[in-house]
Amino acid sequence: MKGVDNSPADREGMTNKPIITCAGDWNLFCTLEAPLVAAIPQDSCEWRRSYGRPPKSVYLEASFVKYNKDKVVAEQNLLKRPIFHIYWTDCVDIEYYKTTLREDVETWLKQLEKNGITDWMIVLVETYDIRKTNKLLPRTTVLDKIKGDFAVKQTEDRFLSVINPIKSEARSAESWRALVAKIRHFVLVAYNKALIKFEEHMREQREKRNDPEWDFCKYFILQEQLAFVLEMLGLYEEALVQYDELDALFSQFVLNSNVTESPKWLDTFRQPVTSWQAVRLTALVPQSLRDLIIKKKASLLDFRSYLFQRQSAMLLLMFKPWEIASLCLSTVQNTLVELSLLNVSVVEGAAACWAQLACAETLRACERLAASNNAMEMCTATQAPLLHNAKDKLHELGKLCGLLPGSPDPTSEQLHLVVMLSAGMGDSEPNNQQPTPTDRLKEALCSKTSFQQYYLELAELAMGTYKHIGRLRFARLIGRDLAAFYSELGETGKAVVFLMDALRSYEEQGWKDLAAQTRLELVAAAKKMNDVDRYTKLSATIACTAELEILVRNFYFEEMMNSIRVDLKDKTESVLTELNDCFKIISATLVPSERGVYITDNKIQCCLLIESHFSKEVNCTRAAISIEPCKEEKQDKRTPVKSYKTDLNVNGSVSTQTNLQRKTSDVSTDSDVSNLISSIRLDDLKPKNPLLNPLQITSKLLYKEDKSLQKATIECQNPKVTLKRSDSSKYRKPSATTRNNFLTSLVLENVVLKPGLNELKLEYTANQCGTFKLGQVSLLVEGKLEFLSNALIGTKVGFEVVTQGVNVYLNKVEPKKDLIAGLEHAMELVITSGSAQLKENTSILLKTSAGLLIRFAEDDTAMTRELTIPVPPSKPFETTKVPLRLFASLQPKREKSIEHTVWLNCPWWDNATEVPLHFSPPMSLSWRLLTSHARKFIHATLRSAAPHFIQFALTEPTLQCDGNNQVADLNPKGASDMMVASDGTTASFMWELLKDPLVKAEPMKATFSVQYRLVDSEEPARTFSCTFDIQDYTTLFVIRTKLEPSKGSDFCRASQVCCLQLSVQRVNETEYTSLMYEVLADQTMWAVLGRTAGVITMEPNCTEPQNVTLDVMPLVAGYLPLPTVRLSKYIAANTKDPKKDISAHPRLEPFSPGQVYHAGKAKQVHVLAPIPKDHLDPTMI
Amino acid sequence: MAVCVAVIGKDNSPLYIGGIGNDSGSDNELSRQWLVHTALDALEERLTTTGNGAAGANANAARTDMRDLYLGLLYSTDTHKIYGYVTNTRIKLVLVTHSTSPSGSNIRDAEVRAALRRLHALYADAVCNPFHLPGDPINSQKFDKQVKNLMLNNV
Repeated sequence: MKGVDNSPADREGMTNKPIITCAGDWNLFCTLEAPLVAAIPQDSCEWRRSYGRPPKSVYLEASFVKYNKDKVVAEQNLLKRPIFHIYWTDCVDIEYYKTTLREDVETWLKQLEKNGITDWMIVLVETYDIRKTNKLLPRTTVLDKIKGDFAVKQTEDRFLSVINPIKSEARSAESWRALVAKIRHFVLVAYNKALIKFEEHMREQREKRNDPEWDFCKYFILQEQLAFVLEMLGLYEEALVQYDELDALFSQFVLNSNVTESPKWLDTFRQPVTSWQAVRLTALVPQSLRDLIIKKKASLLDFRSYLFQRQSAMLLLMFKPWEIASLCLSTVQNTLVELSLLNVSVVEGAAACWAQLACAETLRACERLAASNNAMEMCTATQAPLLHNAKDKLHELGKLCGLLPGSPDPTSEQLHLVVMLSAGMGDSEPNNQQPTPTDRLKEALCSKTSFQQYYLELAELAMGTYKHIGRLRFARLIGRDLAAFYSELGETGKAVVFLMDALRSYEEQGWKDLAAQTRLELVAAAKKMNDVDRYTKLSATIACTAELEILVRNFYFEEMMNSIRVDLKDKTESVLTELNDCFKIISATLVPSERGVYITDNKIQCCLLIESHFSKEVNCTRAAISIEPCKEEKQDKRTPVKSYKTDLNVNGSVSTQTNLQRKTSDVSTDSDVSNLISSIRLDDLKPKNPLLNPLQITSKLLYKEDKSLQKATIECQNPKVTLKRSDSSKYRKPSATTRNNFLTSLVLENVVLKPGLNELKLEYTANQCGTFKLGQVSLLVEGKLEFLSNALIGTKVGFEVVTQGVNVYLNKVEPKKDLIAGLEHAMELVITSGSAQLKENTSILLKTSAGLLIRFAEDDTAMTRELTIPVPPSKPFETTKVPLRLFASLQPKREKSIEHTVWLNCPWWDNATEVPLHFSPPMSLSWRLLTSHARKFIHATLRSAAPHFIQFALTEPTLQCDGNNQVADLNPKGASDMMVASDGTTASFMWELLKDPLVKAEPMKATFSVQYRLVDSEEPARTFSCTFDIQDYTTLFVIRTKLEPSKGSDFCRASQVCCLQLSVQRVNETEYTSLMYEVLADQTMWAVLGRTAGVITMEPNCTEPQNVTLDVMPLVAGYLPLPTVRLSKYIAANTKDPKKDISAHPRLEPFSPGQVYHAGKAKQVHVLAPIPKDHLDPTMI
Repeated sequence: MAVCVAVIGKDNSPLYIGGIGNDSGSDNELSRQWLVHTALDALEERLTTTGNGAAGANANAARTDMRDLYLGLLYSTDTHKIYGYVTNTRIKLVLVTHSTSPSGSNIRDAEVRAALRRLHALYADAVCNPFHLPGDPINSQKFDKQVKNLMLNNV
């Protein structure tokens, strides 16, 4: 922007103002000129244009010149010719007008008319006279006269009177404003006309462009005039269009020159380029360049510089610096192309110089402008490519002049070139504090260090700017250039940083070729840095890169092997690198264990399918997969010292383990094991390609009202699913190669990995139980280079190891039968050593609960409750059986089952293990007391309770009673074949209770005992005994019943009332005197008439029977059992006995069965069918 | 005229890169890949600016019609011009031409547009192959042949 205002007046272009001539009273005008010049630009005026162009609001300026009739001639030069003409007069005297002025005006108008000028105006300046105001206005003013003389319809508004503002400012304002507005209006009208005419002319000229004589330079200057005018009018945009048109026209010519015959004028631009001055981006017209163009001496660079400067001047005026930047880039690129197309002879590097300077200047201008216009953001986006280009050009220059690092010192030719180039750049503009781009470039070309500095500055800035605007790929591209530069500088470390960054991004986005190329650069850097680790790793990767030539790959394969053998020889640790670069894990499968589960100290095998990308075989020293324990809270529970394996095929099994613990362990492992899988293919891990999902598309047929098909459509039900974008930067960061703990790992050593698929069988001997998963895969190649996978397969693949430590079972021997107390049982202690080895001198201590005895089966030692069992030493997975014999002694209690426990105390277990044992008694006894009047018998029955078939032979049954009671054995003597079996065979015994009737019968204890042994065994017989109590066994009452026909009848007949004689006799002393009898008759046979029950009182000393007679009626005929009679103790209400119930109601208490003897219990009476006749035959049976 | 044509997937990984012409100097296939790769920056920039409707530095280049898949000139270097095209499924088509055609005629925007449209059609045909997995690089020889043809003839 600088220099816009203080530009020298002799320059064309921006300094131009529309020229307005003034005729008539020049002196008068001179008084008005200053305010007029000031007033015109103060306001805008709408410029209506023809050809439907949009109207524009325009600020005008004007410069006034004295009218000169010789210069009126309408020049083609739009700028220099006057555009508008004004005749000034202040004549108020009509007479004077008539005599002098009229003629003058007429001549002026005629002259204008002769030149075809219609843009004029006549201004009458009046002096406002206060005195005049009161008077009547004169009939005709001078203006009216002038109008009358010269005006035609179209020109009526060209006559204007204005009150002189110098003399009376206040009054003049309105008329003055009108004048200024008119002038603006008419000037624009004039321009409109002029431009239309000019454009026509221009078009004509352009049409001739294929004329051999046509000259672009001339045309350029011509059209530029239009641009100047438009610029002058403030229409920078349209001015720019003019330049753009010229630009395009020129470019087209140049392009066409290649194909068709090139026009003569183009040779101008073929002249050798001698100057490559920097473009200067100001609003000024670079006059020197313009002169060159006019003189046809401009070189292509000159012309392009000029055009670019003008274009950017327009853009600067429009405050669009960012467009300058993009324009600069395209100009520079076009110009370079044009230089080559036109075969312009140019010093090597000059074009680059020019381009570099153009870019740098543009950047400078943009910065300057942006800083003042808050357009920084807009500019930055376009600055980056400029910086990029400037950097590239500088690099080109550096290469030419031998300034690049690593290149030999510049030759004299190169030094000469520098001088040439510097000269061609010309001098930079003076009065500048900061070094101009020209200065900087010159300086840079002078020495290597300054070149470096400038280059790095530009590159870093370009990269930073690219990053800022988000063009990361460009930034990385520059990063690569920088890397190359730094690498040449010897700062390989810096280079590697850039390259690594680039490499990562290429890899992430799948640009394999680029990644491969970058790797090649990296490997070179590594070699330079003598970074053996990196060199080896990269060589390996390159050797596996399918995108590269096989020769390159083989070369780096050899390099890798070489560096492993030579450079890494002394290294103790292996070099870690990514597995995925060189190998591909296809699948990993755990080989199922023979035993179903993986057991400690046993081999676990994993089949690893790996694809090698190496072109040759490599020797894998060790392949391993790390094993990681699954971390869970329940871990403590899942690493038990002992296992809970049970011998499940035993029905009603005797397990050695606590059930409680087993359950918890089952639960905890179940949840975990269900998550683990034993095999995985790497392809399975990839997320499913969403594009492969079927689209939710349905077809739809739409019918019209008349059922004809209107249209068939397909509809996507859920467009969100299919149109979902998933590319929003979710790039995985490649995980750094961290080495897992390979202390526990599946290992295979020394295997040759062929190119392509390899199947490896890795082994691991589990020494710990628990749940494990597979982690990282490691392949150690040649003992030095270790390829590590990221823990891809670790998530799911795993296995569970259980310790089958020493298991001890107490098992029954075949045939497995239930345990029966009172019998000796053969059992065995089974010790499976599992995966452990049993050492010598280990022993298991067995303890039993009370009543359970144990001994070794082999020797006939006494049975004990504690037994120490020595366990022979054994190898893993051996089983030792120790036969034992168990005996549970019979309990006097008559229980259905007998529970015992054996505690196993093993040295390798902390706690004793409980083995619950369940015994059933061999047989059970039931007994009854039988009464015959006063005699008592005891009937004992033995039955077997064993659940399985078992037979006992019984001998020596005895019954012993305490007290004075004797029993008489009624059993057959010497009966040795008494048997009891569990199939239901029972054995019964009978004794009579011999009791002294005089002795009061106390309750007594009886003990039954019998010798038993198993029928087929040789064992000595054992005693089965059972005690029971006998109470209230003395017979107190005897009841007799008798049925008699009613009086007058001989027989009992159905439906005839009979007489039931009931007699109760006391046979022994008793305290119970009050008795109640109840006749319990079967209601289908007997009907008791009257009371069925009654209370009788027995006199304590009377032994006579009490008799009761009841009327009963048999209902059916036949042998009927007599109705039974129940006798109960009758306890009357308010009994004296306080211990007894104090209730007011009488109660009944039954007698014990032995206390009442019912003599007529089994009696039957023959009842005859009822006979209507009168004779009855009572018959008693 | 076109020296290189690239089909780039949604995730910015190349699905197909085909080039013709001499494999010498700066004009080898690798250098073209750099061009295509960096063009992605410009392409994405273009997509976001048009997406936001923000008329920025590329106001003049901004797509007037959002539905126009042709993105125009992405950027140019001294030797090459890179044009972009993006399908509705965000498959990016990039076409690289020399700055000038050997015949001298300037490359017309319309020609490039037509070529890219045709490339789009070819791509659509190629991925219609039921054995082609969307997102995988295109290995079809037919596609390659057709694209090479396109590069030679059309632009």
